[in-house]
Amino acid sequence: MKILVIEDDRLTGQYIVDGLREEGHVVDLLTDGSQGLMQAAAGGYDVLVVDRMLPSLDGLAIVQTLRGARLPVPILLLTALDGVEDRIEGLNAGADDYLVKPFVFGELSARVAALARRPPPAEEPTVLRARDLEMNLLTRRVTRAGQAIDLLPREFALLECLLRRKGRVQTRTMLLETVWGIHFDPQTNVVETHVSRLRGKVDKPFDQELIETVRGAGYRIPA
Amino acid sequence: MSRLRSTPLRLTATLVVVFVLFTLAGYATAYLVTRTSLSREVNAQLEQTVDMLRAIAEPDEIRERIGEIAAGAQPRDLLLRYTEPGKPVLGNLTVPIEASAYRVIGHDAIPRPSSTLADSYLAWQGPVGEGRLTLLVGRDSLNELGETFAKVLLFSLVPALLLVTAIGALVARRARDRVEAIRSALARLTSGHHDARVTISGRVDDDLGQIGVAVNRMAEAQEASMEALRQVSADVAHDLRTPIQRVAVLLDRLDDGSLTDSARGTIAEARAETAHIVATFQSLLQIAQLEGGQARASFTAVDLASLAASLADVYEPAGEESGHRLEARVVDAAVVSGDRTLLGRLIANLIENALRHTPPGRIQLIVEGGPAPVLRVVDDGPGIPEGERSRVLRRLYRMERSRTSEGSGLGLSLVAAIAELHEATLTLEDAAPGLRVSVCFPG
Repeated sequence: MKILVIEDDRLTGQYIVDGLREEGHVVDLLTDGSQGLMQAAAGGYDVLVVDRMLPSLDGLAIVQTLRGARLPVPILLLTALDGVEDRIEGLNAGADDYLVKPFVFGELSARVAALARRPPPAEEPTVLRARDLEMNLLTRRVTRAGQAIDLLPREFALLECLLRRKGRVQTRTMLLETVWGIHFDPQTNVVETHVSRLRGKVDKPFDQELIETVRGAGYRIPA
Repeated sequence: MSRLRSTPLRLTATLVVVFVLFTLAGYATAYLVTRTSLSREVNAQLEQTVDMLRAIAEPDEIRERIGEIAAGAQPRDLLLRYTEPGKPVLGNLTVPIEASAYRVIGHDAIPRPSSTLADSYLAWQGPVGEGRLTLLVGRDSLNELGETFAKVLLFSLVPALLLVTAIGALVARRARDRVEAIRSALARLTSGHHDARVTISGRVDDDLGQIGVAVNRMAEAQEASMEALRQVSADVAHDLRTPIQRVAVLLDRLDDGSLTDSARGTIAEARAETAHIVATFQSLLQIAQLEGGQARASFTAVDLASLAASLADVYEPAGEESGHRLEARVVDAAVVSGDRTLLGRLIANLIENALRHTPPGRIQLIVEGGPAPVLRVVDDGPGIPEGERSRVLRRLYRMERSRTSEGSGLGLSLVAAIAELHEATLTLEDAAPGLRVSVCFPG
């Protein structure tokens, strides 16, 4: 993917760029707001990563300008602010996702990957599959290697979320947002305990581990 | 009666009543004075006639004068009758009537067609010369006075009253609308709409206009200082988070896989501490922002019941891990006006607080619906001594002074700030055993 990062702190900017390049993306870094806007408008990027506070032109203004010009490129807004309305304000301006500093690279990488546009599936699938696991969304039955697995509703929702984004990392906060609709970071390791329950049912009785832990980021079911 | 709560309307009503009473008193005085003088005139007329006749010495001359007076008198003004033994009766009153001096008698006592008579007469009866005189002076001028006053009252006071009431109501309504504009702007300002202003309709230089201008000036100053506070917290957030982000980046760089396990352990601890700094800092920042009350502007309807159920679901496995049985008791839908994320944070903090500070046991999450919903988190742990409860809510106060206990200590303070933002009251009670935290939302 071709990614543009607009971030005024060089150390943080370079950290993002290095990480994304290591993952095989083509990345440009700009530290100035108005230059960044021009570069972004020139186009050709698959995803933009924009810091909220920038010299010369505010990150929020960049997002608004691009959306005003009807540029559909997905935007991840980075912010040092995390007030009550800041998230809503960012999303209202037209950003697709929002990440609060300080973040670990894994979180940013997972969110950038989630933003990348993919061709929508021809039709809504009724069965999700990964290796020998099958999830029927209509009958809500889950089987692995032919054996039925009994899941609680929240475990089903968690597994469904991982299966729908097969091959991509889902971070803890992304899972909290998608499965429970919670937009804050609990102090307790709640997601870990949910995943470990799910693993106990989906992975433990079988030879091969399906749900992988991605260090410093989250969880993934390989494609 | 609620209309009379408006000061301008009440003042106008009072003014109209005072005006009416004052006018009526004036008319009444004028009426009484005029009536007295008219009454005196009638008396004088009577006395004059009697005195004049008594002054005549010759009986024949008396009869002559009485004949003249009777011939020239209208029955409405004057009736008289003179009887002398052995002589014909004189005067325009043909029938004798009994009357003592200075008595008022009605026209029904006089046997004549009443159309030609006055309503009442002042009577006199007594000896004059050789005979006896009955004299009745008409009092119509006095009766007409009452009618005239009634007419004056009807044609001057009633229209004036209507006019005064109409103009007064109009003026009062205008004043009330202006007062209302000031009141509603103040109400909006206190509920977090810092952009609310008084729309000044009408004069700017009168008292209400001046109050409106002063309120607007105050609101502008308040908005500016809120904006300054926001800017300061934004700057602080930016200035602190960037170095914290750098620390995270540097720790990541350090941890490249070539390190010993103990070194990596130290890095993990450093990361955890960084996360702790961020959490504390974030809570402080949020408490500061919540106290501004701006978040109220974006309130929506939030179902506490479903939010509590979903948070109980989130924490249930983590609770089980630490030996706590987390039970959600949600009776029916409980909709409050609020911010979903903040209310979620409130519930989460209460659950985390219970998980962290109580030994293994039961934790109940109760939502009581109805017009004024209540959220309760009840544990069966050691509870909080009564004297400490209010201090627990105080910012930065920690129950255990040692740093061994987890948590930033801001958890409950943030809960208190979120509750206050939602105008909910937070109470800590003894659940015997354990602690019951109740958040009571306004109805």
